[in-house]
Amino acid sequence: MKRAHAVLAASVAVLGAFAACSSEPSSTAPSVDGGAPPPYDASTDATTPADAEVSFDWDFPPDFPPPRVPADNPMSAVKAQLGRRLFYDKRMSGNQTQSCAGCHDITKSFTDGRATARGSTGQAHPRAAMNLANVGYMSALGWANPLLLTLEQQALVPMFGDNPVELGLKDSEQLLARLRPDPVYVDLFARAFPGVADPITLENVTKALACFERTLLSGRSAYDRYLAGDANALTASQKRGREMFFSERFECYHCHAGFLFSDSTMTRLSKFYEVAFHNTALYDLDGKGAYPEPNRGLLEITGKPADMGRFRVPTLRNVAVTAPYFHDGSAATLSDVLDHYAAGGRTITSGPYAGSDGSKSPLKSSLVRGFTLDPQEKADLVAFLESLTDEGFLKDPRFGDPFAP
Amino acid sequence: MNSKMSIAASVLATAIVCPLVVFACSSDDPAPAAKTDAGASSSSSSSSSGGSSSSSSSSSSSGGADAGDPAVTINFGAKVGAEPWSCTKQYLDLGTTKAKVEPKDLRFYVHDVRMIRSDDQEVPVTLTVDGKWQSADVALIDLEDGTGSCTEGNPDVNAKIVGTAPKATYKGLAFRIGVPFAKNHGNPTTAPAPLNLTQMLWSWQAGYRFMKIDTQPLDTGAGAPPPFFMHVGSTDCVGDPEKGVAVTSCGRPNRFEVRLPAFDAATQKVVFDYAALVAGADLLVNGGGPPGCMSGTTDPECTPTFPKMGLDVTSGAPSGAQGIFKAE
Repeated sequence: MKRAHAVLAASVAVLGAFAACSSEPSSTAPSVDGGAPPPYDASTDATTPADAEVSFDWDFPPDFPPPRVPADNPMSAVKAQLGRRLFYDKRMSGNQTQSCAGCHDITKSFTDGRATARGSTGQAHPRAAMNLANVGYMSALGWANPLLLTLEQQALVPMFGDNPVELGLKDSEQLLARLRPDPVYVDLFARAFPGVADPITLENVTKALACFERTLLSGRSAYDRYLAGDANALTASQKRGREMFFSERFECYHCHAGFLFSDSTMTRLSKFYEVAFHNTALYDLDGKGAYPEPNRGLLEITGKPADMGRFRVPTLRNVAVTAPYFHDGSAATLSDVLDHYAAGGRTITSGPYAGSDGSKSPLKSSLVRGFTLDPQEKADLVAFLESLTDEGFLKDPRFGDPFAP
Repeated sequence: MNSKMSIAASVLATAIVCPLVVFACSSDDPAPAAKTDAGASSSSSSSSSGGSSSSSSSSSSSGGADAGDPAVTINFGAKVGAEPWSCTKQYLDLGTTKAKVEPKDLRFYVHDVRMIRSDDQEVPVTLTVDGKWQSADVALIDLEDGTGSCTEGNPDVNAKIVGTAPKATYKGLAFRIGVPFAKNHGNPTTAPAPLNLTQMLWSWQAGYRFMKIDTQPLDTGAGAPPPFFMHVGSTDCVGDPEKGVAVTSCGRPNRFEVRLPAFDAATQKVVFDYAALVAGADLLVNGGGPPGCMSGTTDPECTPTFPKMGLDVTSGAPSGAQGIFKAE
């Protein structure tokens, strides 16, 4: 705990130093109506949210930098507590059968074990539930949506989206009317958002959820212990797998980059916006790189043909417990994933996509080149990936179900 | 910045981020698009068709609004062919496969409202802010009342736009369907009504649905058809994430102009016709993409419906006249 404070305080000092000599122009973003969250501005970050957060104990894993936090939603323990309760509350769905945790199960690093998720009405989601470990560091949210910049903004998609239906809330009043009479929420909202006459609002629901999600820090795996100096934390096989992971022969680390193993990661120290989407050659239905609907990736947002099949790189932290894999859950095991990358793309010989040969897709990432992998090497790589599991996170009582008996 | 601070800062930054920082792969970085959104501009082309239908005399200067301007009410309605649209009715013979449908929703945003003066000059209508249906920039028309098959709706209905316009002789009406660009991509949880209605959110596109016109086609014996959603909104949007701005422009604005050269606000309504919107569509089979049309360029249900709104389905730009709103 002391250490977390020390890191944060030090980082505030760093930011202060940056602010003092920053030559970056101040934001010239066009004004957006309706009280849009102010653009992130590191020069004010040191004095506004960070000050408010000095009393917030992040309990950062070793060497984790602070995540970016919107200036209008500073962290607080009670707000995170409120967000956690909302996250696990089935009243968050229209028919009150499913909470956020219905698809984001802590024991699976907040995924659901299904190939693709299932909403409160039973409707199948086209995509797999995403791992929420360290989600506060992701520079874009969802599998392929560069427009979703904050967790506050993203929360509206599962709450109100109707294609597919996830939580299936009819409207904000349906939810707020359920929360208002509950004395636990009356108390939590009042303390999380002090000085407001009516704190039980949709805005504050999204802020509390986002605050809780930013506390989901996972970085105490065997691999982290190894990095911290415990040479025995990894087995010999895992150490060999690590060498392979970070090798040019396999290229894994180019996209699974950084301390979260995703090249769409940002921290409060980041000075540039980084996000990337990649086509990993899972499909090529037409010889031109087509992915099957409704999972065509970044193209669905940008409309650009070159964005067909491009998805954000998921973190590999806790990856051993987040099967099945890929945006559509089409790989059952880590071994299957490695087979896919070894082949340089997926060839499909049966079923509705028979004839699809992703390895020949003109749109596939230049890093998906294929490689040979003998059984021992595969076992080593899988063993390394398994060393990224933070067992404590998966049962951390701070992140568990507050309604559990 | 003094040098001590500088050294301390860089050492600390390294300490915090290392040892796992490796190079991000940049070969696939999306190139930012340089498309523009045509949303905010208002058309001021004049029309010479249509007869005069109002007879008050004008004393104000062209287009100028002032606090003493007379009130204007523009009434809206909806039909399915010849029949009035209602949540408690079913309708026959719609689209290319003569589908039978029941309504689920009918709401749309209107902005850039103009009266067409007898000399063809367009005069802006100043919307009366009411804290519910109208802000200064946009009005919500909501024709579903939550009854019958409109199970996801609510009892509140709004079938009119209220505002003021300078005293003049007007013969026509023009407006645009949609939310103006400047208001389309803010934070909906703090936006003023009518932009805080969650049912009109299009969160995955960081904007609003301009039109939400949904029906449920009924089983004709060949199995239950999927719902037919008609969700029109801006797509192909790009932002400036470095500055924290989700959307700075949209490649396909998908806002369209409704121009009624002969319209008498005192005696007529603006009437939406669902049968006209879906005349070229197959409501019984989803030919691809989401059920119905969610503004996709390759969605088979958008191809026949977008032209009815006067929209080019590929560019999202105006193309020809709309054919789903009439003066009656």
